[in-house]
Amino acid sequence: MRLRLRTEDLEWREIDNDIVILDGRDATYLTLNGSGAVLWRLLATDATRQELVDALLGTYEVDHLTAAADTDAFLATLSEQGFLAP
Amino acid sequence: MTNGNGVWERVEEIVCATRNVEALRHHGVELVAARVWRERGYAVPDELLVDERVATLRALAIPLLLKRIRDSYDGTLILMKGPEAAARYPGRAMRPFLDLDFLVDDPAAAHRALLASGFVEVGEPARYEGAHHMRPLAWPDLPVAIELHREANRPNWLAPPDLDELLELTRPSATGVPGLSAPVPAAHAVLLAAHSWAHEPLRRLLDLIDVTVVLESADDRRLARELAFRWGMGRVWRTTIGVADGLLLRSASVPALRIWARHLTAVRERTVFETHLTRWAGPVWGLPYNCIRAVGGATRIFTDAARPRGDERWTDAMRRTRLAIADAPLPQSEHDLIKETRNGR
Repeated sequence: MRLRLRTEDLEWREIDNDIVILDGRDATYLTLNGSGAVLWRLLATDATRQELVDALLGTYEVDHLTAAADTDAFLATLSEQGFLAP
Repeated sequence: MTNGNGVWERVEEIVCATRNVEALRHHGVELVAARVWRERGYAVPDELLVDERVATLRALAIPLLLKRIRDSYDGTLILMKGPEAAARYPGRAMRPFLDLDFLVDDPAAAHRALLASGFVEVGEPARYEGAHHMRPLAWPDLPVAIELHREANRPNWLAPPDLDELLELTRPSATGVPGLSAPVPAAHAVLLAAHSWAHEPLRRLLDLIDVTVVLESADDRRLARELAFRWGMGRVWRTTIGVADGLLLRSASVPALRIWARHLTAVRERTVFETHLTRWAGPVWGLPYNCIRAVGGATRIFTDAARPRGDERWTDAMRRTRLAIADAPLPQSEHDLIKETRNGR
């Protein structure tokens, strides 16, 4: 299953290595850095869960279990806040 | 940062000639400087990094706001300045702005429509009675104000251009928001010049960069000149574009650049003396030759400067004038600070 960010009412931009996000539904600004920024960039085009896990494995010195757990936690947060496309 | 006619190469040269962040901010080119310095491997000061972040937060809100504004009002909406000019920069986040400026066919109706859609009024109501735009609006929690113009801003000694003609001189906005218009480049450039002079003639580098980059062709330049003269702003335009070309395109230097706009070349604030000179020179350089108000206006500026203001006594007015003369070589902001300190004692 391919995952991607919703397009409506969501604006984001990279500044330095961070991602600055504006959720237009409630005018909330968020900033992502580190692994969150890595995953967000991939989700902006679209990616599978496995591709996200691989990206963390390729970027950070972590084991598969940690990368998978971090990815799932991140996806759960995005889903909860309505950032993922249905 | 490159483009065809060398404007940006010249801008790079100018912003690299100083490391004074306050001066860069004063001229509205701090974001350009941050980008150029980074590209050249120079350290970008923390304060400019903060400026970049703030500009990014503001820029993020623009597409959302424009779409909401467009969805809220059915009439004509013409976006000018800010993001419309920024679209002609190498990066849209390189041009700072605080608000969105619109020319609209029916400002009162547009204002009501936006309020009905959830926008809220901001700013003191009294400030905007009789102003060139309605009381500003904002979307709650988003850091950008929206100004719906009753007429084009210009120096108060010039008449506004005909709104109906301005509403005709449009094309789709460079922001890409469907249904949103922008002035054609020639009209936009003249509006930008007039707006700049409304604040202070030949105020800052940003204004000259805007005017230069929105013009896309020689035809635009011809039309801009024609429109400016038709709208009674011919000399404002000729002075502005002459200074912009002299500064940014290295064409022959014009007298205004040498006499009362040297702060542009040096990327610094005007001194107290230059500020006073500008108050006099603006109308003289900007009004049509046959307009007798030039003489009256310019003379009045000097006499008004020395005359008591409000409840001020003549002795205090004379003291203020003496201090202005003593501070003549200082930057205007330094003089203002000294005045505040003196008044606070």
